[in-house]
Amino acid sequence: MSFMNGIVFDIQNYAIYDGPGIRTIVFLKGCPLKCEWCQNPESQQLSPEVSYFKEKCQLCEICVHSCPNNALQLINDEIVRDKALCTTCGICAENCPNKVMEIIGWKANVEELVEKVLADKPFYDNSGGGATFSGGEPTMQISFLLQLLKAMKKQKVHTALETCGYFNEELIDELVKYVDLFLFDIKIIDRDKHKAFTGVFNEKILANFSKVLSIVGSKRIIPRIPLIPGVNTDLITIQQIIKFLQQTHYDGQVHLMPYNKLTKTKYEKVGMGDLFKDMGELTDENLDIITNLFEEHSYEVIVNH
Amino acid sequence: MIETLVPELIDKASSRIKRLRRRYLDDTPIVSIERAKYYTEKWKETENSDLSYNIRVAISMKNVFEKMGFNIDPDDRIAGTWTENFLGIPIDIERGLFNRVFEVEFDKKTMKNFAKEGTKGFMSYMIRKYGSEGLLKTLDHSKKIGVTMPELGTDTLDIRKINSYKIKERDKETLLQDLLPYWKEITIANRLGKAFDESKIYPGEFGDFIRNLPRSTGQSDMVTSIGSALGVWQGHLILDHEKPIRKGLLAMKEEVQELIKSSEKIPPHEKEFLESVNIALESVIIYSKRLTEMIRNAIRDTRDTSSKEILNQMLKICQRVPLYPAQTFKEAVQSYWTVKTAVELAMPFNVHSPGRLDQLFYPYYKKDIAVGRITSEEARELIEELFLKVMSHNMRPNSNASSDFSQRYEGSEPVTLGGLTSTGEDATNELTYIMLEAADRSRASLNFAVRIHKNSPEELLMKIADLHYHGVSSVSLMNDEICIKALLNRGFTTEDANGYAITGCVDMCSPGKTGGEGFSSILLCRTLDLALRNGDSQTLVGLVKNAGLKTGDPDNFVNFNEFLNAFFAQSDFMIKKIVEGSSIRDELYAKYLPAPYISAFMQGCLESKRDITEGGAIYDCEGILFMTSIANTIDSLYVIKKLIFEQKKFTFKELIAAIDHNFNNGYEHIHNLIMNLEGKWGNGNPESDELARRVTSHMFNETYKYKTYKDGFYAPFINSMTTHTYDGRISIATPDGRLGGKPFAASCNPYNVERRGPTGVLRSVSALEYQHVMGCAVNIRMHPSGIGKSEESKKKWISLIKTYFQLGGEQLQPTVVSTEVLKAAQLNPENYRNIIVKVGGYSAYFTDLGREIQDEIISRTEHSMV
Repeated sequence: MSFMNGIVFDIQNYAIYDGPGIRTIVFLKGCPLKCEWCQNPESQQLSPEVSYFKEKCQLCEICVHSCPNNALQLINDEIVRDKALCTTCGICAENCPNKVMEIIGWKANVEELVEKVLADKPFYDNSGGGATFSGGEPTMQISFLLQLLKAMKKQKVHTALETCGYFNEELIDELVKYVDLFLFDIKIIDRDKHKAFTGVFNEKILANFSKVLSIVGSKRIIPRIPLIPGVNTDLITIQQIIKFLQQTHYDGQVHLMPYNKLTKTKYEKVGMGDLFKDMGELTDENLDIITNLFEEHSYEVIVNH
Repeated sequence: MIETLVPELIDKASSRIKRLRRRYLDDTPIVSIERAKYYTEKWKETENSDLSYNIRVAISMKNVFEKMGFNIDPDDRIAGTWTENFLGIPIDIERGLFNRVFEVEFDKKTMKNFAKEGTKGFMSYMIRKYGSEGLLKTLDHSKKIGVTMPELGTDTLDIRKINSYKIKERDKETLLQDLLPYWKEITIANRLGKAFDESKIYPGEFGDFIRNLPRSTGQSDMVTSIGSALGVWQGHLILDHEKPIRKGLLAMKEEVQELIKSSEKIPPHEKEFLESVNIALESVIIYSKRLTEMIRNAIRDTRDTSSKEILNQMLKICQRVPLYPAQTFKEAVQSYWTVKTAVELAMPFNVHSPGRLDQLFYPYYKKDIAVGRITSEEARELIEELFLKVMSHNMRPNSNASSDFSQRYEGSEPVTLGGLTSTGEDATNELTYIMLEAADRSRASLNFAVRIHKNSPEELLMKIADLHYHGVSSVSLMNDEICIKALLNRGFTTEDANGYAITGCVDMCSPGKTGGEGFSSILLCRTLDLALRNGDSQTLVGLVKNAGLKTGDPDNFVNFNEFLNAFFAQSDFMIKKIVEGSSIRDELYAKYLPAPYISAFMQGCLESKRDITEGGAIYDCEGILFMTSIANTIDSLYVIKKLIFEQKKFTFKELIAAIDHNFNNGYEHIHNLIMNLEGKWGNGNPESDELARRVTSHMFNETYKYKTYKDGFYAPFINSMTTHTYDGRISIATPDGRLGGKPFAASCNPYNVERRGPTGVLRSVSALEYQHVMGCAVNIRMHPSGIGKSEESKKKWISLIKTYFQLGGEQLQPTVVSTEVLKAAQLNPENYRNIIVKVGGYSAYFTDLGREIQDEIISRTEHSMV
């Protein structure tokens, strides 16, 4: 069997908040949404990229000279990358003495990834854990993802999929065969508001949620609600989410994911500094109110700090 | 405000415990000369007598117990101090670990002169060896590397920032003018220096080199070669406290007297030994009686009725114990403390760990609870006080030259909890939990080593997880299955192996049966350097020829195995040097400084009629610490294997040149190649894990070949204390890419961790064969979120530890505190006084640590989940 390649941008071991037991999360690059509060801006683009931390750059130009494609130039106290010329070979990052450049995303093949994930199998087996595929949006690399999932099931490793839900409905039949647990983002119910904050309408997402739920039942899907101050933490939005869940007859756990304040640096590193927005902080009181609201409707709430 | 946000900072202690802790943290300890004075007084008096050394030691110490002063504090519920002050240290003047510190470091001028003389001597040696041009070149080279030798400086003992001590002016005079001069040539430390010289232990140019290096004022360790060193003291043990608590000292003394009577025909030295133990027991009885007298006086002088009541209760207890068998929990605790304090005064700074306190006190606690004599809260608060008191004896007046690398309390002296009974049943009891809670509330900078096995209750594990989440980083975990195997491999009986406890930092022993665990160390990276240079050694101050064996020019080796064999030959040679050195040391102790006070509380001594320094105890051991460090050594070997032999990226000659230029001056590309090599140890890479296993197993096996002077065994311990920062500071770059002057990895920790999350680290660490290791420290630094608030996440944390143990891990000591909190603590230490971190194998208050160790701890990979 030949193994295909995909673009991965991180692997995290001992993840304890993304599914049952101790897990390894594999982060696949690329996302169809552009959420204003995105916590992983480096995950949005599908292809590998090179980050650049301008503030720490000493402008020594070693990268400029080392680039085999002449894609880098020093312009106005800043190294500027010509994306048309850059092949993301990573030579600049390797040579940077101050580590201000970093390659984000690498080509990984299924076999090599499976080996890395399986190395922690004793930890999964003892804790009831397994592998979680996240992103970006993992279904953006669907063939790669399916190969990974199948390989995991073959090794009897529990699988979880973290998804924004924005994928082609036809994928569902295949996914439910190999995904043991869907961690399914539900952000906003209002169609226009969803579009305004994430760049896409949400019909597809909500429909996919309902369909997956109807096949796998409440035990194998968990709605995860990122709580973004000023976006979806008002009572109306929360009530709409609850209403939606009730309509789908969902009766399992609900995961609340309070927004983590980010520094602008994370955005600046991938050249998206202008897109950074400070969403403020969720207060404990607000979180309590939201938690209570779900509990009043008999949902078991897990808060993932 | 901050307390509610940061779990590490919650303080649950009572106001009394808070007061005590605050003073132990903030008072400046006082150097007491009473012990030194009264000991010397009697020693001089018996100088021309024909009394044996053990009798002289016993009666000199008796003189101390008869004349010393005591301190009693309104917050004390447990009575007894080892000096006349609330917080202070005695002086081990006859052993002399710190005599030169006192001699030099009370005064700026003597400090300056001492440093000047040292430098002068060294300079003329360098000029003799290299000529003045060569000297300048060497100095310039070290400067370029950017490292300097730690200096003595001029911060005197009383004003220095870290670990300072006061002394009364008159005491200082007596100490400097009468006491220290008398002992100058005859302390164990000085005798050992002389003995090393006479025995020609140092190979090649090393003897000349070391004799001319500027001396340090501290004399607690000595080098035995370029790649090995030796602790000057023996120590590291757990007294048999069970016997005095159960029988009382009067009955114990009677037993010895019976034995003397019934053994008339034994050789004179055996008779002398028994007599010395008899005097020792009598002296501890005197100590206890005088303590009682002092409480009586305090009652007389007190008007306050509530203070009187507290003192009356203490009086009642001290009248009974340790003279008679303890009948209550409070009496058991007092009996323990009196004996410990007295013996610790007889041999200060000797690391007499408490042992399994939950087992020792449990019968008394159970009885008291059953009859309603005590509540669990009362018992817990008393234990909190005890923990702080144990901590307060654990400081050493180290030289200012090492102050950047030290702290006030060397939080070793671990308390061992949980584990198995001698017959192999789960030994966890109510006191185990009470003591863990007391560890949290007292925030005493001690080690709490909890023994875990397959039948440990889930409740215990969850309690530990909860403590970790709340930043109680003093709690470490031991894997009983592996530890017991290691003990059996070294000849312990099954019962004794089941009953093991931890002394020193992480050293396994049989409490009351192991006479001591002396310690030596093998400096692994220096040993590796010998293999690179055919037996020569490069230091920051020039090349030392033939410091090791001639193992050949590595560029002539055809494969990696040949190089590995050269390294093994060098490490075998270093171990041999340790054996030579420690035998010389042990012989000196047996001859000049027997230990009747320890022998009185150690099983096997009465039976064999031999002092512990002669191997009278049932077990004995010399620990060989693997320092500077496994990780840097394994990674270096891995780099050599991959980049020199497999990928042929550079030659040994080029690697050595790169090291000698600290990877600068045109050698940056070699550094880049090294740093970009993936899969170094600590990332769960089977290839480097296997290399680590193979290399360490060879050295572990080598230790089985030798016996100590006391007929004990040599065994490896993987624990660096703070030497990874200190030795790092004075060591050149290493083939793993570590730059000159930078810290080595601590203890058993990996160095080049690429992956996120602790599983890779733990898989790599567990690759070693710990069934041959008598103790190791594995630090892992977690953000509190890595343990989590919820029961579910805590269960995952426990599962992580259990799996690591199943994979063969021996020990784990998490430091749970976020980087933000540590950085804030560096800025505003006052608000963060209670934060405890794990250093090498022990606990320490973070704000007490020297800056270099603080930075090293912050730089350790923090596993966070956010």
